[in-house]
Amino acid sequence: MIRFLASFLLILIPLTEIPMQAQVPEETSRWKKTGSPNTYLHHIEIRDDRGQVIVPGQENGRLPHLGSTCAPCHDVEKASGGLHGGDGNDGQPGEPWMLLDSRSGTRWPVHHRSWNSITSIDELGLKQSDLIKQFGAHDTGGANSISGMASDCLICHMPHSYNFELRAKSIKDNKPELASFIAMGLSDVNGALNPRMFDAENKVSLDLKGDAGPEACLHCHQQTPANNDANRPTWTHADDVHLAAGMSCVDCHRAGLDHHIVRGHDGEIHPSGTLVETLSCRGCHLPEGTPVMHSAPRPEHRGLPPFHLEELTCTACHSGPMSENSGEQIWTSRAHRLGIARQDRTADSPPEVFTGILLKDDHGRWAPHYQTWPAGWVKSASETRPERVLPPHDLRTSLRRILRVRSDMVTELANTPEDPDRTERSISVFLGQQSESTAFISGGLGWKQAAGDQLTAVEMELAKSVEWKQGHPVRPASMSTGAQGCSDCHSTTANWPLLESEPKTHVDLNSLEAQKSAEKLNLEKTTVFDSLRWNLWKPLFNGRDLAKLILSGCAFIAFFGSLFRLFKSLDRRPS
Amino acid sequence: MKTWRHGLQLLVILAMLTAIPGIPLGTDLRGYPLMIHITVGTLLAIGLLLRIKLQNEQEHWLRSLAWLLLSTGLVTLVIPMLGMTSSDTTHLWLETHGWLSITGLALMAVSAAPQRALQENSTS
Repeated sequence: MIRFLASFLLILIPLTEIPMQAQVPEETSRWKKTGSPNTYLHHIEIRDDRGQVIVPGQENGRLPHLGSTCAPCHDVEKASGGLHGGDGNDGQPGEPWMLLDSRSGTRWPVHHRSWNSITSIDELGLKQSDLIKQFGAHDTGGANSISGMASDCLICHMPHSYNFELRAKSIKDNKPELASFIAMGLSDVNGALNPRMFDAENKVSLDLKGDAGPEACLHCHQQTPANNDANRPTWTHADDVHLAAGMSCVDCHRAGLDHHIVRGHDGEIHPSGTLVETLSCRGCHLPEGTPVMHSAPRPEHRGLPPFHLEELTCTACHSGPMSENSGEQIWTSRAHRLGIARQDRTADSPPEVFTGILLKDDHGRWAPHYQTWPAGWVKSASETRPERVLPPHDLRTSLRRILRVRSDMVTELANTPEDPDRTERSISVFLGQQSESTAFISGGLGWKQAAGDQLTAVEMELAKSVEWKQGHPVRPASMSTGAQGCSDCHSTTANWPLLESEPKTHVDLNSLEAQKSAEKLNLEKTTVFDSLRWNLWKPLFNGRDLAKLILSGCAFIAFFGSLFRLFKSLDRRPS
Repeated sequence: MKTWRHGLQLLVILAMLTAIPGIPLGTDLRGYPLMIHITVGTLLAIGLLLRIKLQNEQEHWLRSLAWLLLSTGLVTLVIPMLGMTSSDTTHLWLETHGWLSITGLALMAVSAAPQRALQENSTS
């Protein structure tokens, strides 16, 4: 019998291996892989757009082409797509691009994805050349990216020797196709290769990495306080606790070659169909079942009533600025062109982006958000058409003709001591010469012409704020909101949950009519929280510790006393 | 003494009534209903404490057990409140608090007849 079983098993084992071997993906094709997580030093030739090798000094007018240079070993087409390249489902809103047009005073959030309250590229009448100039510096490219430029693999995969600013300059100078070669010093602005970078085999050595570390991502995904004074006595370090622990952005925001980068939201639906729940805060730190990352600390939240975990996102307490800095103005890489040296970047540089604003997310939970306020020219709604944005370039001629604006509307129409109503009068005059439905948006309100060259505030859908969820930087537990107890939020001094950013008009509107109409509309606005209930609730926390002490003391004494009395009753029972 | 006992029983019933917003199971009381429930609970705890000290009448063991269950219910509420449990297990503690209190109240009703009988015996 034993012999029979042994021979049966011997037959069975090879049979079970056959389907297992058949499951191994057949990705042997043309794409090369080292299979090792270690850095592979690329020692490669540079190719033109037809895939032919270019030798320095013998370019003959042929320009280097990044896609063709990478294509012999990598599936460039696949790598140029993905969520990072603008493909895939739109998902929940992320940071919009900010169209800044000083000539028309426009500061407009725009994105190619269909996100609520964010204007589309078509509505703003932007051409590809505009998009490249406006956003190219902080766009990695891809067929469906905002700029539509070819993918620049090196901006993310070349950790050293890549000059980000030079890339931005090349794009601004209408050389987007050469930008990455110029940025790594391989080519000049005319496409001539730098012979000193090549060896005797006419090859270059490039230190490329699959994960080039957080710095690669932070080129475009950085945020910093707008008044980041070096002497500021509070913690303003941009680093996330995960990065400080030695992790990399891509440890959670993972992607394969398809570049469908995981966004890390709860309930995220990944375009690949992969379950990515474990890569969210809750999935990693509060897993249901077996944890995926045993080293991820599991928070106990001792003493925290559990409904807080249902009503708030993890980020509400753990991310963004400290609660006392919530609502402060920040710069973001993409909105404020961080990484590019400038002299005119000040705390008030447009656009105004506020951080740590508590709003409900699409799961109905309170989460910190970034918030910005659009500004520019619009047409109000008619019976047939909804409100729409007026493309800035359509207004330039009339602004120049009517108001003599040449480069910067806000500065050129600024009030002066001799003429304190200049801005308002100019805008009013301009609106008077447009159709009746034209309005100017600023400070969360629409502005229309009123009698006496004044402006009056009107409620407009397009004037409303634009928000997107804040995920980083994640603070350590000891610096989280609530680490010092309930009174971090529930106190008469904590205003964090009631916070709303206060939009300021980016032009000075001083007339009585303007101020009165704006005040009236602002009074009608409701805050995100029911502030009356919240304010009534807060004082109840003052005597909370004493109440706890009384209740606990009485409960414990009552328990032991009752136990004693039970024994006494049992003793008295007639036997 | 009777009024004293009735007052305590009224507080127990009131505590049960104020816990109604915590139905269905799995939903924790929160906000003002929680505050009201805890206020009643605190008064009840003080009452229970005074009962130990002041009430000397003979008690049937079922009645004593009912008061013990109610006191234990209070302790199971206090433990998570003092931050001695993680938020994962807090639900369990609160549910235990609920079930113990309900059982205590039920036992209080059940013990009414034996308690009355015991008191009649002791007075006769």
